Amino acid sequence: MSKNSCKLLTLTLLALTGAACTPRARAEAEAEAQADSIAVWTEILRSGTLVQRVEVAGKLAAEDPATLPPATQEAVVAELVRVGEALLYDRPIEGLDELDSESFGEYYLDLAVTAAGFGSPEANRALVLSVGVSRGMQRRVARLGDEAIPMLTEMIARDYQPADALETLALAWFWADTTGAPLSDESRRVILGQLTSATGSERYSLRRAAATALELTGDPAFLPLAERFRTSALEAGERLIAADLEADAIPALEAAAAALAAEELAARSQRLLQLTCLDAAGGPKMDVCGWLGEQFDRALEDLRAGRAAAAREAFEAIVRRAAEAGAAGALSEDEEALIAGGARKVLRRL
Amino acid sequence: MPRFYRFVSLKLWFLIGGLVAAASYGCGSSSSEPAEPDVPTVDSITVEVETVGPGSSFTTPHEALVGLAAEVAPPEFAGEIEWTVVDEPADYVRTPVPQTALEGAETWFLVPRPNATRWASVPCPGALSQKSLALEITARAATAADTVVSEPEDVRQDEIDTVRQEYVDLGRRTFPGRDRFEPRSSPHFKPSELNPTGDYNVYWAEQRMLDGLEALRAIMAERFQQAGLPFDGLILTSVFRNPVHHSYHAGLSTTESRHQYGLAADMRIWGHGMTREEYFYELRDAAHDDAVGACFEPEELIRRGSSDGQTLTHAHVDWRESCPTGW
Repeated sequence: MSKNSCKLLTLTLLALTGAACTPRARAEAEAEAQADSIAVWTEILRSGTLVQRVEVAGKLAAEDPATLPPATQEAVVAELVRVGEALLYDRPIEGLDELDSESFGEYYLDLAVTAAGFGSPEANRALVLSVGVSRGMQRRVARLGDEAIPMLTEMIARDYQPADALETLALAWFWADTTGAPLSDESRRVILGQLTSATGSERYSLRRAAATALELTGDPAFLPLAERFRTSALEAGERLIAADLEADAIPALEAAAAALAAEELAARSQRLLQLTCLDAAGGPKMDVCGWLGEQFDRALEDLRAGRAAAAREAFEAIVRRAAEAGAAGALSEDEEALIAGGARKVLRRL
Repeated sequence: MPRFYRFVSLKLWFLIGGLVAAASYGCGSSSSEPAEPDVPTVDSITVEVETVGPGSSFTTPHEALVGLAAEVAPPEFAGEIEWTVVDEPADYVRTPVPQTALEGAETWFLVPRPNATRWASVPCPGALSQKSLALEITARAATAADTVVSEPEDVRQDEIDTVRQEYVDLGRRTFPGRDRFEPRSSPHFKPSELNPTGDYNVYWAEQRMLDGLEALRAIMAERFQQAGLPFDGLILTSVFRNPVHHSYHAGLSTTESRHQYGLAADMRIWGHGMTREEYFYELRDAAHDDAVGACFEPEELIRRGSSDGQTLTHAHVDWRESCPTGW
């Protein structure tokens, strides 16, 4: 360092410390100014115009979310819910026409990502309407389990971030399976229904998401559905969907299947059967559900007892009966594919 | 970097000229006249200007300190130096000057904050002379018999500090270091793609954005290849935007857009041999991959933001600090 550089450094230090008497006083003054700013921003977020709120949301997003005071966190969450619900229910958003093409999206991302940094239960619940932002956001919501399922289902029904909502449902399935976190049979039934209907949806966004969602479940019991979906995607000329299933989802589910013992694999298929049958209120479906359920119980008992031949016989009977029920309309094509396909996968292991 | 100028006083030139003239015109006889008493004179003055930034550059109010040093010959006149700082006259920017008197062989001043509203009239892309702050500095030493003035020394913001000044003047929350504007690119994204505005030759591209873009491109390329479809690469429509371009040239009202921080990219979704929706959803799927780790603007927000409230116009991906990725 030259003589002059040393002098300049000294002068710089003098200039910097000149604003306050001591470093401590300066730090206190800065902290006070910051708190004032955040208090003002919070108030604007509550009652300012949309243009003003957009500006303060950007400033708040530059702060460490965990350090924001509770009142600010509450205001961010409330605004995220307000805007999210307005989008979901197609309500007008006051001041939106005064914004340029990008600002509204930036605003929403700022609110969502800031709220994601709070980590509170209230904030995590508010993230349900923001699952389109990132896979991490989807995972955060998936961990909510049963609590998140109705809203995610409504989002799909209302065509609001449907692809992301579907993937989040799949992640909720995965999270419960891998961590033992609670997920009710009713929630699982809803997820199964959404996944199967998405593979045949008229909406491209849902079909595209279904390919990824099947992989995200991590459940090899969905493998027959993924294979059936690949065939239909190829027939429809949807090469990207078919390629994704072929290259990612199916190999991932096959690997998951290979990691399970035959007995565990059979139990996964039986679980899908039970969920499929939850809505069977009498009639042919109830009959076939009852029969298939008993057959699965027998097959699993034989497997556990090491009676491979008997188990094989039972699984072959499941395949035949599911096919008959499918042909007779007692089971949908997807239900048939899942049950018969699941039994076939187990048969290959025997 | 210090720069030095040496300027020999006018009186010394006159003295030399007089001696030459005397030799030519036979005035040597004047030596017989009685000698005048010696009057002390200043022979030369050397000026050194040093700033915090390299290349005699600065920003204000950060890094606004300008150190001044002058060497005078003979040195006994060092205490007689007065400094003059004026707005550099050759450019189009009015740079404020320090209001306090600057005296002595060594002194310093802080460049005052400029009027931020000046940016509103800077054209796109505009020349550096329409944007950068610059001051002209001279030192003056005077005695009863003599005055010597140094050559003027300019202190001017270079291109990097000029764009950094935008972040201060437009009240952005983050003031970037000079290193943010070091040249960065990646195998598939050239500087011209990363810096499409043309306002400056320098731009800000964070490494994590470049890594994310490469990962996104690789996933898309693989998917298209697996599907037997041609892939033309990602077409970036907007990446880095300096704050003035963002606010004034593009007329956007957000103040903290990640485009200004080298963390966001907009992509074209049409013209890829499929519908906008199909391409958009392919990008969405790839952007959600853990290898990309990006935040993605959902379809509904893009549609709401479009001029008719319905059209899916582009895809926006960013790598903002706290974007949730893992579990």
